[in-house]
Amino acid sequence: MRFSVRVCTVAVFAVVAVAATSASTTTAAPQTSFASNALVRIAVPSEVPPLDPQKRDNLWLRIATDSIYQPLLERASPSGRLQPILAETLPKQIRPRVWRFKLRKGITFTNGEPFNARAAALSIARIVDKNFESEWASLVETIAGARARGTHTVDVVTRTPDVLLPSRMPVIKMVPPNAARRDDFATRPVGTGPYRWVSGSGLGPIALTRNTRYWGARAGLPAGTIQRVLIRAIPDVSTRISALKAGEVDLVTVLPPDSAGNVPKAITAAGIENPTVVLNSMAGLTADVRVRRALNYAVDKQAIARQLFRGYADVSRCQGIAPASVGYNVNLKPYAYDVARARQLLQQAGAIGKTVTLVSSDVFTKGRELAQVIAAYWEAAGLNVKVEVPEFSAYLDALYAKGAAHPDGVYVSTSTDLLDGSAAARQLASDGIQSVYRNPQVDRLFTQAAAQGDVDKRAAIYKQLFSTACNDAALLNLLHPRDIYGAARNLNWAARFDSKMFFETMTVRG
Amino acid sequence: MSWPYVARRIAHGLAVVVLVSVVVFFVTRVLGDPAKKMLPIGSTPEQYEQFRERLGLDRPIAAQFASFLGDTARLELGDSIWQERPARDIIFERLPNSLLLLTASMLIALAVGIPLGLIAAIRAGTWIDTTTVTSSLVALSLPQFWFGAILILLFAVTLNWLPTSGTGGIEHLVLPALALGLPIAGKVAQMTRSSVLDELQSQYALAARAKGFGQAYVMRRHVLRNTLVPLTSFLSVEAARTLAGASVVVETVFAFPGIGYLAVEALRRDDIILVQAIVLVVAILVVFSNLLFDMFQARIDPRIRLGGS
Repeated sequence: MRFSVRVCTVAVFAVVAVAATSASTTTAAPQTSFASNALVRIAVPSEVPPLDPQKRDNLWLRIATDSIYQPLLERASPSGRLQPILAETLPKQIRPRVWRFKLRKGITFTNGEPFNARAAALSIARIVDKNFESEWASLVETIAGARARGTHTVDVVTRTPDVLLPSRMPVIKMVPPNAARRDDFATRPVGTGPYRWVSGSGLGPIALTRNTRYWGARAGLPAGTIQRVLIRAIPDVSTRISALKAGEVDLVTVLPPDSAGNVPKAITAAGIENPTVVLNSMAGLTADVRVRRALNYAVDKQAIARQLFRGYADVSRCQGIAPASVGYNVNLKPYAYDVARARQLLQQAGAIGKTVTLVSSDVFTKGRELAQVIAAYWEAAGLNVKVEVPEFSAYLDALYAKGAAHPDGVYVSTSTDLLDGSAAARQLASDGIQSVYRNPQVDRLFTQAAAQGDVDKRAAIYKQLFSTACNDAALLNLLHPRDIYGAARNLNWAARFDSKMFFETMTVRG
Repeated sequence: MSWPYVARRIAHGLAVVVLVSVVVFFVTRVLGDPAKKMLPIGSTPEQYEQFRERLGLDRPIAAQFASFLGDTARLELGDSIWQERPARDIIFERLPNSLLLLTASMLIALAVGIPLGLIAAIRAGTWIDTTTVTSSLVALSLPQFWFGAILILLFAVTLNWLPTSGTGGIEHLVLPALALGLPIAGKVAQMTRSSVLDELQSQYALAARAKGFGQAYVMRRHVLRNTLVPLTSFLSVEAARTLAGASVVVETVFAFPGIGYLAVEALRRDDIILVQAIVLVVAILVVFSNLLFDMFQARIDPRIRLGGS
């Protein structure tokens, strides 16, 4: 290449690079970034699956359908307390395996079908039907079915006595029996909620409009002030942010912590994700409790929250459930960051210089980076760490392996969907699908909690269980990342702890 | 162009399509368990088994392959696991967008690249040549995902002239087409320049000039036509590369609803049925576009026709 061409090429690249850097770091939002009451536009990172709320466990599907379909019970935010929606009151456990729900009267689906006990019973039967293959099955597997008792009373029958049945009900959306039998039900949703579907399904934007005949207004529930909602997919996060700044959308979801400062208004909420490292308590180096405690002491969780999550994460209190959950022990303290203590414990255990394996997955947000950071901390304490980030099904094999086949540490981010300590306790019980921990006391407490119907008493049992597991350092509980959204300046909305998005709670100022 | 030549090219293309489909079939099944990838963590073993049974993944691999070959021969591409409807329908909904984007980007590449290359060749050795070559080098070196993001920041966010993403009117096509087309324009300019310079030095061109014909006449009547041949070969490769590669990135950055974006979504969800179907359709398109370019080349270059006979 001629010298003059080479010089010119380098000079042009330098100019382009400087200009690009200036353009990409601008934080000033143009005046077009304002929402209106007539239409709010929401950008999600991925296309929405078919709009059957009972079929898929998918966050974008929930965003699109949470204001269309309603359950019998829902969680209030931020307390997490169960409140009746289509049910008139909280249910009563009339027999060990039967919970009775009284339903509100005078409610119809937007296609005119009545919401009654028959509709409720069929909705529940549909989601628990094995042939339906709902992705919610693991959360509702204790439910055998439901029976209508008159027009507005329904009994939900469980396979075994299930004190958590009320916690499962927010997952089950009520669907119209006749419409749900149609082949096109997933492309033409019909619900009882404050918004109804207008157009779009599967691939492409989805449009909703206010349900002007929404029953909830009579019952004092929010009926929504925004007339129309448009949901579309913009997979690239920088494009999503650009669309917000250009005024093409009013709310963007799933922002990484690094981008929160680059939007007109950032809205955050404590989430229900629990990044955790499952430590193998049954085999290998980590079978020694001193090693497990050392692995906990060695990690500076505050620094991870500050640096990796830019402050948008709270340090976990040594338990794998969200703070709003039943059983969350506010008195439990996380293992302090103490490298000297970690080294001392490793020396006592004869583990200095030994190798441990840490497995993670790219499926989780910052899964690879967290594994690398944790490995660095463990190495600073005196271990050698081998980090593996295999393909997802190989990762799952590692996560579910038992005994010596389980790696020393497996990173997983669990979700407290039922807002109850049960899932985290199950992770620690001997027969838990992800458990590599054996403690008879924990097993006993788990069995007691599973049979305890009184919420406060169950909470007390869970607190004791998590305290025991924390002392045993069965897990390395890390953080509770916050959910981050970007919004137009005049859009008012309080994000929920469970990532749900009810459009009827959004308002636009001015 | 002789029919035996065309028949040979079609047979060759079919073989490529079959080979690509076979590779994708085995790769999607060998690289992990689709059931584990698609179902949520915490699903029970019964759920995994039920899922595998529904998709026929519990059958021996040979039986699955036999079904796959039979279905592919009938263009039965299966039902998308994620969207729960025929993969063929989903692809054909999105395919026109990709073809439109490809056409627009190729037109930009030609409209910008050929004139630049011509100017550089005619003014070879001057500052115009240096500037043109530098610009084309910069253009072809730009990574498309980055270039796309810069175009969005400049034209959509800062200037508010064009939309950032999505589909609609022609304004939604401009930025993605520029992001795809300008890097190709750089290559077209380079190729045109070197090809024209070669032709200008050829004996027939020198003879024409010696006879007294002007530069413009020689360019128009002789040089440009001969430049088309290598340019056509180059464009054939670029079109295939764009359809099967670069458009995936650009469509995702711009949320442009083509099959590239669809492929990313399908891969994200491990929807092996849709991934297989997309690969098959893209392979067919690449083979078909190669055939079209070959036929065009044979049309403009008699040496190919005679060689084919």
